[in-house]
Amino acid sequence: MIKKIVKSLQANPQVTDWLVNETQTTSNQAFYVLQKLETIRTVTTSEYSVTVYHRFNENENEYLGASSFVISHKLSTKALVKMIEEAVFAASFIKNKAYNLVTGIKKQSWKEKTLTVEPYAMIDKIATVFFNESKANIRFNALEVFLSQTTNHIVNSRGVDLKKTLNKINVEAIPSYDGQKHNVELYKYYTYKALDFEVIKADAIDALKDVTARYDAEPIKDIHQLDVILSDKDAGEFFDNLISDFSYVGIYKQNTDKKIGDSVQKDVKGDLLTIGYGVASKADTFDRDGVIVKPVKVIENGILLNYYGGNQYAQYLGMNPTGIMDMVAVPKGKTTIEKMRKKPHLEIIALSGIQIDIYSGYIGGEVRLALYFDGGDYHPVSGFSFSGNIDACLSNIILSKEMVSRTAYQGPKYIKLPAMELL
Amino acid sequence: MTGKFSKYLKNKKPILKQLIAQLAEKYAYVSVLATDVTGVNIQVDRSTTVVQPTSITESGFVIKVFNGVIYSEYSVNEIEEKSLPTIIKTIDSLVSQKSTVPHVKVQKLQEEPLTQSFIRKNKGKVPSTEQIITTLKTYVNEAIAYSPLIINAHAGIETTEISKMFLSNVKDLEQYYTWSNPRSYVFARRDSNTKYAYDGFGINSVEKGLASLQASMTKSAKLAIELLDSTTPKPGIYDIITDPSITGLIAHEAFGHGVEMDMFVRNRSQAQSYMNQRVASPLVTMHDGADATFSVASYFFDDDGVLARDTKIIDKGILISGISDALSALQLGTVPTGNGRRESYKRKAYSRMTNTFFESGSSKLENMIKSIEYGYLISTTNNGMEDPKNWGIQCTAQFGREIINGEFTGKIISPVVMSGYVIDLLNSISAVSKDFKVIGSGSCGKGYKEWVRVSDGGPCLKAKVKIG
Repeated sequence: MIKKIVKSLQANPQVTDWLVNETQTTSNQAFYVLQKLETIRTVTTSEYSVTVYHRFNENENEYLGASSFVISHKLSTKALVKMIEEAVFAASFIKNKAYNLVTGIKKQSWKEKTLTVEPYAMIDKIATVFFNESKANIRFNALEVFLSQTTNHIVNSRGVDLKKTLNKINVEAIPSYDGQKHNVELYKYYTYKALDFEVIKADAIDALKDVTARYDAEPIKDIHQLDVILSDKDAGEFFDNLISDFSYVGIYKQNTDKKIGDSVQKDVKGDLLTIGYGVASKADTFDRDGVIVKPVKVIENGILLNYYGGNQYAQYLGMNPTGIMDMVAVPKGKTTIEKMRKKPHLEIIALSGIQIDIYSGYIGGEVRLALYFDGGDYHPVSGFSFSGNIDACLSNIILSKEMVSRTAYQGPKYIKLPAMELL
Repeated sequence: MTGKFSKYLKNKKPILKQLIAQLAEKYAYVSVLATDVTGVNIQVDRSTTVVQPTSITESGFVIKVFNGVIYSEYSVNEIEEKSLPTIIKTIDSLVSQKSTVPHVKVQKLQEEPLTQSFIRKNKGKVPSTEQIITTLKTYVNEAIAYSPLIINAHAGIETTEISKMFLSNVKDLEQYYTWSNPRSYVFARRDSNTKYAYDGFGINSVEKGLASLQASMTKSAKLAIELLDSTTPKPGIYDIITDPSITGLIAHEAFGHGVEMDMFVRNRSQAQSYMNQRVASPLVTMHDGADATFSVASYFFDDDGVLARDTKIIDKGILISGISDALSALQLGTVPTGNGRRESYKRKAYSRMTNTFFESGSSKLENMIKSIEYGYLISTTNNGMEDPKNWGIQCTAQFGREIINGEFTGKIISPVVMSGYVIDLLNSISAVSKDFKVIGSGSCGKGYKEWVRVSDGGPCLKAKVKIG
């Protein structure tokens, strides 16, 4: 199919450049209800995203218009030619400042090791690991397991020909505790790059431990301000938000007035931050435009060091593209979690969803489960919210020595934010 | 826009019927959902223009079979006559998978025979891509010219046409409908203080949607400038008035997710044990349904081939019904409500909301505002998160306007994160306005995935809520 698409693109003289992204996906899925198998699914798809470019001059300015469409099934040549004509016609009205497509040097491909076990046998084993940790009233009322393999193949008119095959294991688990006092649950979502049953078992045990704590949790009373410890995904989201505006797109569109060399943290009494982007897999080597990705430090020791991002906006700013990456990378801190936990604090286990508004400086969220340490004892607490100011957080933030490595975040497992308001 | 049901799907129908006939020889239940959805998203800002497919663009098939033990599905985007043996082999292989985990005990889905086609076209003219880009560019330039404080403005419109076909031994359903979503997004800056404002709405007319976007851009530009003087709220419990957008967010997050009946099957919903009991103020009547009002989720039949309905969920404060997909209804022994929805043909169908709203009441908005001693008028949905088992609530609004002694003070807070206990919030509703508006520009996930287009709304409410 890809050859047919390329042939039709090359035959249209109005198409100055083109990019074809072929995505082949195989996914095996199982859905469990009250620890019994309800539905199984398999997915096999091949789709093609086609972008046509039209370069033109007007009033001594050079423009590059682009328009995309998706092909989900076989098309006649006539139908394909028509879609290309419509797309290039649309591109001819799009007056984006001209830039060059990524140039390819050689054909390359990367592939993660294929999972050798039969997919449904593996799904069955994963589900069994979760269910084996359950008790009659503390169990997983819902569990969904997805094993996926995706191959992206990118070719463009400038010689890019890159292919990567990545595996992903996703588990949505709902640990639940049915007791005499009440029934409670938590929401857990895991993404694994590789199959490690010890890691999965540890997650299952932690999930059941957490929901047991939620069962015992009480509202927090008469405490209006505490240091808050965030971990894992919430810490990753916090760091991601801090650097999101420093992309080439954000800078070009003036979403921020910060410039390279500017300080991101003021009056620092805690840790200086170094935050960047990388990739979770060695095979995840290029982005949607065919840029070979390069891990980048965006902030170093509290100072904006680099912008980052894809091909088009990098060229608009006269910089080199880093490629678009989705794993936030932060070096480890200097403080152990034991030390962080010494003074009274609130350690967040589950939020409804962390709320961060970088422009108003707001950070907060509704707490579904946290452990409150009063200086002597721990108390599971629930049903309240916390909030604070991001600038104040950045002045006093403490990062843990302990690290976590997940697909979207590699960095300190715990971060401590000072003096947050509780309600 | 083609203005008619997908020719591609029409051409595939004989092959799909052939496939169903062959599979029906060995499986108790067989159905095929076929989708052909084309969406174009055109976005313009001060420096660039983007024309690309929308995230809901898809074309493919879901083949569902029941072998007397388990429901199995195969999602594929290419079906040809010559590939039928391979497809049947794949399904046979899927069904024969061994599991050490026991199966849910479930019966065969029962369907009433029905053959019907539905069509709802875009109203008015469909401007060309060039006309749309030119119009959007004009709006962007107008917004930027509105004030030197405006640093960028985005104008965009998504146009979508949806063809779906549901076939089984007894059903032959076709639907074609369209929808458009104009959106505005404006950035303002004073010194190093940056704020943004956005607006979005849904409409079944590209022409009218594009025309209405001009006012939406101006509204966003004014608000972005106003927000430069906003403060973050002091945490506390406040009397509030919600605009229809926030009313809808509360309906959706506070109660809607909790009555999705696949949650009942999984013992994940507290609402299940509150059926026919009071859960809200007597002023509250809540609906959901693709046929409950006209908005973005107004389809004719769902992804299980069940016709759209209007389900009254809460009647004068009493919980009377949930909403369900076909498989959940089968397991619960209830009648499916036409709420079986898939993110795409690649995903499973779940019980999902469609158009969710509170009915309007009898109070005048101005009297409701006058009744507030100290509180806020909360406006414009940002996001929300459900907690169906424990009835926690988190709803985030873009901004709130301060009210003291029944008058707006001119002070504005942003963002506004509301939280609390669902039943406390719903029972605190003390006035419901005569107004009614449903905003058809939203998307909703289940947990953190399975995104579908939804609308929500209703009147303005007076309630008490925790802001923090």
